[in-house]
Amino acid sequence: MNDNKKESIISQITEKKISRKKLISMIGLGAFSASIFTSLFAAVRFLTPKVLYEPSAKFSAETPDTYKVGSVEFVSEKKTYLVNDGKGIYAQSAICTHLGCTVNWQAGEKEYHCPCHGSKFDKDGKNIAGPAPRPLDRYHLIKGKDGRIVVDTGKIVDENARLT
Amino acid sequence: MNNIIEKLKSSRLAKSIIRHGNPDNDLDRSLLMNNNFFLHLHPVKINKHGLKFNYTFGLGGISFFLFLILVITGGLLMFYYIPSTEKAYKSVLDIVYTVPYGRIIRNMHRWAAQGMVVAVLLHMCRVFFTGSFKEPREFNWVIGVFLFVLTLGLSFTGYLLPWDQLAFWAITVGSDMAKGVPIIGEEVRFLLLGGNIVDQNALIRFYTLHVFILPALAVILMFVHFWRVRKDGGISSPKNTYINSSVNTEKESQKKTYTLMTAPKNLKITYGTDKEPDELVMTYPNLLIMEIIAGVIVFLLLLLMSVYFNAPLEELANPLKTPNPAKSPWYFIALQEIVSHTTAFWGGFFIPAAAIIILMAVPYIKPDHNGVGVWFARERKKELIVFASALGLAILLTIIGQYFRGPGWSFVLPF
Amino acid sequence: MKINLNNLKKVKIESVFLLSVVFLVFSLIYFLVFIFDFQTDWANYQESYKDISSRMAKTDQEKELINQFEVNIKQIHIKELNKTDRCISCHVSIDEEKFKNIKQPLTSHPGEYLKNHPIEKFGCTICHGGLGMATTTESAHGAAEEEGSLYPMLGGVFIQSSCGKCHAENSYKETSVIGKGKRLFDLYGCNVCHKLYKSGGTAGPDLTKIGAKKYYDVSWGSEYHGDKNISEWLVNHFENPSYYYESKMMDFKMNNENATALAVYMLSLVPEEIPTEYVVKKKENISEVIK
Repeated sequence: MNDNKKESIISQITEKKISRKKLISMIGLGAFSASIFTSLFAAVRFLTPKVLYEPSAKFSAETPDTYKVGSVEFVSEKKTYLVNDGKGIYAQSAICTHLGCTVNWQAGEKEYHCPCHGSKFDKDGKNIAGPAPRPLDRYHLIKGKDGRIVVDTGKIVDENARLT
Repeated sequence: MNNIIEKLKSSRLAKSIIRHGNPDNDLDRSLLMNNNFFLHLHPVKINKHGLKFNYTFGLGGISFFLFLILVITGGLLMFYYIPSTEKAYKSVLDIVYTVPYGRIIRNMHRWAAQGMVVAVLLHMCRVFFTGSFKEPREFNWVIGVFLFVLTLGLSFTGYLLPWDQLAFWAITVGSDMAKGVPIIGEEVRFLLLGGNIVDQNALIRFYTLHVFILPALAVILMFVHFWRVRKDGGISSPKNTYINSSVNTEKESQKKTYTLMTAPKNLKITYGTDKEPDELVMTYPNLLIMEIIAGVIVFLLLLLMSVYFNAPLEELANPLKTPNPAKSPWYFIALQEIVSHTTAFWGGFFIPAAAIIILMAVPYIKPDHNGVGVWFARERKKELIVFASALGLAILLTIIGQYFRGPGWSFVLPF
Repeated sequence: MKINLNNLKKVKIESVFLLSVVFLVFSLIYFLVFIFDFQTDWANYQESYKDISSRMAKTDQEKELINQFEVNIKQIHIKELNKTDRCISCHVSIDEEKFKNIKQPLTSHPGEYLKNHPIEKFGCTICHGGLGMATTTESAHGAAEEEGSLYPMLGGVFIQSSCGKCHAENSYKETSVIGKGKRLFDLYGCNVCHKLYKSGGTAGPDLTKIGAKKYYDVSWGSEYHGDKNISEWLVNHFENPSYYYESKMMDFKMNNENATALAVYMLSLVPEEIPTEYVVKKKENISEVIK
């Protein structure tokens, strides 16, 4: 009886010690993984630059009255067509929705043709031939502080948006 | 919960990665050290004497740990740094001011680099003052001297990269000392800079040396260094004395090649008969926990330092305007001080070359086994005094050059 | 289950505990740095800019412009001048006149200067000095301890030295001080001892690129004279050259006004290469020259 009692006390003590040991090692493991996780997070954040030297997504075109009804003006360095179709001015992306080549405006056929894989878009930018999966994007545009049109190539709007 | 962990531990996937069991017994502890590629750097058992912190101060390990930090932070910095004379300075400004965590990582790289020079130097002093370079560790000491030179080279090449006034003129002054090499001095400098002046060629050369060639050499030499520590009987200790039993081994091995497999048993190093053999303890957990704690504390100090103290960055390099005084990096200031009193031959070539050669020759000059494993052993009084006074002189010259030299290298007070 | 009590050494538990504390400190430091990344001065200023301008906005168009405004580091990158100025990260409304009476850093630029010097073409530091790439006030304005002497902003009349970089004629009323400095240069006969653009004596230092001099080049012992940057040093030095033991310059007994004018002129002699399209040859009709 006495012996049994002793044994049970010993086992109790050891049990307690084990749980304490386990607890502390769990904390240690948790702290270690927390520091690994945060340092990985820091590394990913480090690799995300806050400042870019690439041209900004926004650019200023001319004033709205420069774009007469029926004109299709190409802003080549921004890969954007500024179009006035009578209902107003819109900014049409020149980036083919297939694989990103720059489409060309064919004034005779009134179509946009992609030189890479033969995709064709009609005058509204709708895909009519070739592998292009969807119509050309339209960019957001507003009248800026100085009266000139500001186009935001980072913002895509639906096809009915116009600047009037 | 416990069940899941146990199941995971005994799964085929886990067993294919980790083959040993829980390291709560000596067999599994041995397997842990032996089967892990990274831990295999250490033997399974080490002598207790080498574990004493106030014997080694962990300096070798700390140097290696700082090197690892430098590799990681350096790799991160390479994502933003542009090694071009036009963009280098701007890219460093970008790292400091706009990149998230950029300032801290740059600071860490700078302070860890300075810390590594100090740690390597102190490690070298420890090895000398405890006589640990003596037979059979002579060649490892030579490799250590090479590693010291490489550390200085790494720090020096990195000094140019920010392309500010500090970097530009420190490298101009530093590389000018290469002219002190007799006969081919000009050619050495030309090769180092890829031209006659510090310019784009020099920048890209220093960059390549800094990020690829010198680190690669350092890594190779480091692993030879660590490997030899094991092969030469671990950390030095006064108890295991060296007994040359090579005659016996050689004869044996000529007859039977299979004895090579058992070579470590009767290799040159055996425990002395006249003294008590050192007590051996398991590497896991005794050494490993010490290493982890040391590494973590070093990292903590470095991180806190990097948050509070910014690495120096001066104005954009201007080859037309020499700052007065133009100083080389602090670890070469002693040489610059010597050059200011003598000629480039003495400070730029003779004294550093002689110092390196003498350092490498140290274990071969006086081949005895006096005072191995004891700090400042009495029987080594003479050599200790010579080394300490040379070191003291170098420190004195560095302090004078760093703090007491003003415009025109004239003597000024530092306040 | 048999447990070997020898494995439960107290030392080990303590070291694991210590390690976990330190690892948590690491995470905390990373986290704090992350948080402070969003609490920068420029972010706060841009937030208040957004507030103020949305209150000012009247038309829908203006309101939409404000809604589109994103808080981030803003910069003007001018390839021709090799300048990247991030000053507008804090001075975000520098070219909006309605911010005339808002307190700094949101005050708009006084005077009509920005009309002839559009900010997209000139940036800020070409005239004002400072470190354009910095994103903290101390470093950008040159007030930080360690960088302060490197890129100080030009204050007061000293800013006229920047006009001299492009404008050869100095007869505007805004550039009277630098014009005076130029005349004084001839009047005192500085050329006798100093070289300027390949002509002049050699007794004193060449002044062709003297504007690039940094304060630390000359600041030895300057704490006795009370100057804190290169502009003040130049003025003090012209007034009393003999106070500076390393200077061999003659004492012309200049008054403060003349010393300042001469200092402004000296500061305009910078080695910066100004592209030809920025340099104004004739004084008339600047707007034609700057497209």
